[in-house]
Amino acid sequence: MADTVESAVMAVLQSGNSKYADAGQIKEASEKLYSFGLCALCILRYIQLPIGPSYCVRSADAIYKALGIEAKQDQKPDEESLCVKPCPACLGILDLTVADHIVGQFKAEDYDTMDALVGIELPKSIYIRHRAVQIAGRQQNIPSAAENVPEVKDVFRYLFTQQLSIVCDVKANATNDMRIDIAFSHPETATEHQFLNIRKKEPASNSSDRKNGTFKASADRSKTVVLSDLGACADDEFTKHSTCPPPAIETAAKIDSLIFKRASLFIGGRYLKLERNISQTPFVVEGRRMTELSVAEVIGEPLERLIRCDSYNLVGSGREDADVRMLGDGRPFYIECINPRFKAVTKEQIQDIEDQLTSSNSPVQVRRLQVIPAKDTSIIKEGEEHKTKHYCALVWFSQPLNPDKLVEINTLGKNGILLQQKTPVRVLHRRAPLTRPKRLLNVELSHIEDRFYKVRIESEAGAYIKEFVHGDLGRTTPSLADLAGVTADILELDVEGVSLDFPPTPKDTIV
Amino acid sequence: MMVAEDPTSSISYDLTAYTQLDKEYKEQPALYLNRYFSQQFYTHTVILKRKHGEIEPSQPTDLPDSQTPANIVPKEWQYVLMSPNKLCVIGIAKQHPLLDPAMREQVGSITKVIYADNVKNSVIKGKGKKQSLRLMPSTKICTVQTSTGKEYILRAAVKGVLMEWNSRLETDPQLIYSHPEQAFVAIIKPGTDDSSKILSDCVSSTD
Repeated sequence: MADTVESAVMAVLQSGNSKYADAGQIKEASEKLYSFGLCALCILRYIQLPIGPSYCVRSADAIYKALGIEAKQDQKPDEESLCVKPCPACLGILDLTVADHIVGQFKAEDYDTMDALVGIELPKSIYIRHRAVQIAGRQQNIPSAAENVPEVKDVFRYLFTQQLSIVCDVKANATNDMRIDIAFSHPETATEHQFLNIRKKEPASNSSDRKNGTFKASADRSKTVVLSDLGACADDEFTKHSTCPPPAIETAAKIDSLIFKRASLFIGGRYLKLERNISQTPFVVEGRRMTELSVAEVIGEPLERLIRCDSYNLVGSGREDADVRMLGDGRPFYIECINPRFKAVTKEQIQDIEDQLTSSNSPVQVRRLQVIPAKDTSIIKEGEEHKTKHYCALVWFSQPLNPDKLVEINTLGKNGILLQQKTPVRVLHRRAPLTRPKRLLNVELSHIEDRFYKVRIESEAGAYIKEFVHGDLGRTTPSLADLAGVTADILELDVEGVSLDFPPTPKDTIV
Repeated sequence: MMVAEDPTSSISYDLTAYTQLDKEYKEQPALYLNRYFSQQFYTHTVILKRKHGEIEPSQPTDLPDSQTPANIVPKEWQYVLMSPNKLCVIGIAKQHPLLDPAMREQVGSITKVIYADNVKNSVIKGKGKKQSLRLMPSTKICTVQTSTGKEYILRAAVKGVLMEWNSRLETDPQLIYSHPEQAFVAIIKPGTDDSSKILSDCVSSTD
């Protein structure tokens, strides 16, 4: 392992790009950096060794040997880490166990992805301390330290992506599918950069400084501001506030947040609701569930188990009341599976879920269930407003109708009826008070027995059918009650059809 | 998989579940509103009684059953229909002098309904927030005039915000007789979700 580092050092010396002419000068510089308390990797950084396999060498000894450092016995780190105390330059972030740990967490989630976009956020004191090393380097004649050196962020990214590739077979690149966001914090040095604010007056605050109702504390000035302030700060000004080289620390930086986020998987289809008293999504009022089942849960639960997502959302092309059945070919919908671990689901696995629901005579079933591309989800909402719906209802009249009256209503119904519907009382608490014109394209009334009738309606999207039957205290006109001249009530309602072509019928099934 | 279906057949309904409903409602069709609303009653004089601790002169407790009409001041009952979403529809109850057949001669027939100016001018836009008209139970909503020159004031009955007033009553006051359920006076959104607070000035029966 030492030879990996040695040959890298040789290569640099031979390239003529180094500030040093020979191994002796390297040794001298390395020993000074070592005396600052820097970890082995930070020493490599400050002698300007380019990022490469040398940084992955897991033995501080090998690095010391290659550089010619005589590590003091009582200060020799044990097997576990590359320094005794956390490194004052990288705050312990370059300790390989850190990258290992994160990769381990990621592996445990078992995402079936090949790529990931890695985002890294470091504590602001890193930049302060880097400047401190640079100033110390100038003061103590370490030429390379004052120049451009590999940054902590880039070295960490390198270490992390190497491990990610080895352990998880995942490449770090600019993918949209998978994000790994790592943010470090270091409470011990959290205020080290604040002297930069005191130097000059507070910049005028802007509205973006006010997040979630509270003003951002000055400790939260962004990294770009810190860097630009540092640039404007002269060395002698800097040394008034910060020791050079940077002071020792007791604690290592910790992982403030570690977020794994995968792009959602969308499953589309059509759902049937064959029984009443089932809401589309879980409906909770004052802590109590209003219906035992919901369409979203019946379909979402098996999908959640298969795809291993955090949660799911069902979006339907419109919605029917909990007490209304959804028959015929079903209502188009999609389920968004949030943060899925397993995206490479096969057609068979999805078909399996569909078949399970059908064969078990579940009150909620699906048709045409399939994975859909994210862009197809917009079809669902567009269809909601423009497509017609077919209904069938059980109606009660206070008196049986005269046969002539029945014919009269059906003749009228065949040509379509234009309704003026004020926002129904039952939704007036959450919808704006408006009068909406809605067209019923076809109304067909038939007698069952006595005061019971069946009505079949083809209607424009957004019409309130229940209100058309009883009239909603005269606020929907004309109503079936008005046309019949007696009191009317609707006892049962079913949706027979929602005409929207979604999702496209799979070409390899027999229709 | 998809079989062309006879459009008029497929769905059939089990009517046995509704035999009881049919029996009850065919006598009194207006009862169907009980499926959508819970009903309570309001009258303005009840409030005075509670507030001032007086016993109403019209309610002597020890009269025999055959009371002369002259001793009794009939209460002006309004109904309050509350929807599950807490919205309240208010209107003239059957027990109100205006609708009591026994009182028709004395009261006369309805000629006009005039809504209060602040009601007619109120802004009803969103879901009943800042701009809408605030109401107390005793707030006057409208006045009903009769052929004998009598005037009856109808009030909000609940505390809340005005959502709708029934303009059809101004153009066609006879609706109160011909289609009582369409002749509601106003729809009010209460300021709270607590039913007992909403209906604090109401009673469950006019007896």
